[in-house]
Amino acid sequence: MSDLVLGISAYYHDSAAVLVSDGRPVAAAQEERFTRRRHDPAFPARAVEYCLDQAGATLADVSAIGYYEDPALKFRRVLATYLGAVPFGLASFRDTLPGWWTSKRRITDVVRRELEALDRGPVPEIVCRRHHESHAASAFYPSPYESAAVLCIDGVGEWATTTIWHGRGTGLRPLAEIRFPHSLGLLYSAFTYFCGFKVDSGEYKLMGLAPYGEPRYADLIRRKLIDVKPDGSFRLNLRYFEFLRGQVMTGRGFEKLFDGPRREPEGELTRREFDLAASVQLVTEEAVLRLARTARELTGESRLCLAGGVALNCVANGKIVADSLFDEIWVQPAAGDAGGALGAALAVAIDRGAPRSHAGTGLDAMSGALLGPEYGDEQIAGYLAANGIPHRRLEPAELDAEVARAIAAGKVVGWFQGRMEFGPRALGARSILGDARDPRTQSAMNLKIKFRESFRPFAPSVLADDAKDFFDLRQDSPYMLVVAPVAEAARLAVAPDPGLTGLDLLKVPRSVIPAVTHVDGSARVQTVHPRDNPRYHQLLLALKRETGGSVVVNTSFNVRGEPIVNTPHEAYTCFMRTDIDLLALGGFLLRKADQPEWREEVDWRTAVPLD
Amino acid sequence: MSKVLLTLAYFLLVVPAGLVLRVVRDPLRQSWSARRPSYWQTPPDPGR
Repeated sequence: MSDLVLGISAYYHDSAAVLVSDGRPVAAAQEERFTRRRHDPAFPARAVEYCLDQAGATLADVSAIGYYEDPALKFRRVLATYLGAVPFGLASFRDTLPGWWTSKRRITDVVRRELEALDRGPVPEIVCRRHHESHAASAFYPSPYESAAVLCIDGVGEWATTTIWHGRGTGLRPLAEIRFPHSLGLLYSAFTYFCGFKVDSGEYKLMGLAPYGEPRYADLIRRKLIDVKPDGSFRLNLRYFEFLRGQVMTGRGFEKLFDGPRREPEGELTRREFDLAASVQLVTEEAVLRLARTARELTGESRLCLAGGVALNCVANGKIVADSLFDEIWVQPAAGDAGGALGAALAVAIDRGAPRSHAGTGLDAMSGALLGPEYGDEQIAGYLAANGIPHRRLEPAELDAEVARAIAAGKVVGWFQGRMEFGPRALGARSILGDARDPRTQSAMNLKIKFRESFRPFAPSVLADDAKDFFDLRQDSPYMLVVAPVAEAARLAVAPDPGLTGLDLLKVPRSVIPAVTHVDGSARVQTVHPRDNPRYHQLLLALKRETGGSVVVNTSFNVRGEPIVNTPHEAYTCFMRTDIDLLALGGFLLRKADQPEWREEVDWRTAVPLD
Repeated sequence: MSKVLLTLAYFLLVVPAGLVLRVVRDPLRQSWSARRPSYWQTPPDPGR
């Protein structure tokens, strides 16, 4: 009889549920995928139900529930913040205290009530694990390593914002921490806010903007905003940040320092935003590298595990890899708070005696991060028939060959196969694919599919065996969380043109795979192994037979502002709302040209909020 | 909770307590120190 532990993260952002069986995750999903509300913070009722259904279990079969933070401790930090902000901060106090007083500080009661309401059996004991411990557990326990240094960096949990641990076997020992309000995540979020993006979801855009700019504000940031010691420890200068007293990140201090008011959301991007992005990215990378070095010194380990929201900064991760400080790094695919649910479940499971049977075998325990719902061909067939959707059914080899031919011919293909990914990246289960070789792919996919800003590059998947031909990557990157330079052999000579600035730089082909090459010659790579995703691996082999190369544009299957699609219906809807040419839905191929006219009651472009 | 109640609580309880604490010790006001080689803190006991 397996020992089941259910992990839950909720109420801040990226709610999720994860079911762990004998120390191994067997089901995991973010609530947003079911409710279709991006970064949904609500209690993950549907994700919990999915996890139980996937395992054929009820709550009676679950030994314990792990919750990803300690609400009482977090409340004490919130109180300390109110006290520290006096005599300012009334508005924040008035707006946020009631929620804390009535429910947030007693989350376990709320979680128990929510679970009881699911009517899936008696609710077992609910154990709270601290936020950073949950991150650390999600980083180390599923990693392939017997032992490793563990570094967790985020905005803030209860108090800790940056922690170093030593993972050995089934143990995790905390070694050092930095506490709120000193936080790299909050620093990055402050700049995200100041550059007009949404906090907690726009950081990624700021990172993508950085290669367009010059880090001319980096010195100012180091002198005025954050003091980083040689060992990576740091303090912020709180005079410049509003998050202690107000509900916005920055105020007049930033405006004075950085030549004017913050950029309005959706406003025009100027030189200043490019340069601010480049500057904060550089300072963040410096801090992260020093932190990694300290982690190495404190543990003596040659492997590093990463988690926490800042571990989603794949450019910084790439710098750690390139630094060769560690033999290898492993980043938890759900490095943000959704992964906290996984970490809490694992921490509880390990306490209950679960083994790490995969450790030392070279394999991780994430099953390629393919832990979400799947829809079999019979189910899909039923959906297609019920809705009169024109389609053809093909054998996998035929399907792959046709999809490969379409990609090679410049078509954009929706790829819906198998179990949905856990974590923010699409990894070839819910992906939109395109030809990486064509210089037109980037703008075509941007405008036709994502209806999004054009400055953000796309990212490649490549067969793990071929990665070295195209990228300077010292190790695997199965979860697309490491950025690496495109290899010399794949680059094109580019005559410098000082007249080109900003977004025009993106149109210049810099490599034989221009669609996935950023303006600084880098790419966010996914290396695909047959053991992680055999179906996707087969497709890339077919693409290689067709074109001679296995690099493909892999972007997430969704329109801008919505979460990645989960069900066949959501995939079909996205297919019909956009100019995707072909949809591979399980064993079925759908051509756009064959489809009936698409009609919706509401203009979805106004209904789906911008991200 | 009414706005009035919260405002009263803020100025009658939170502000005085906060001002006193600022004199005694203030965990949120740590300033930069060129003398210190490091800002690392020891993690508290896990104490579950």
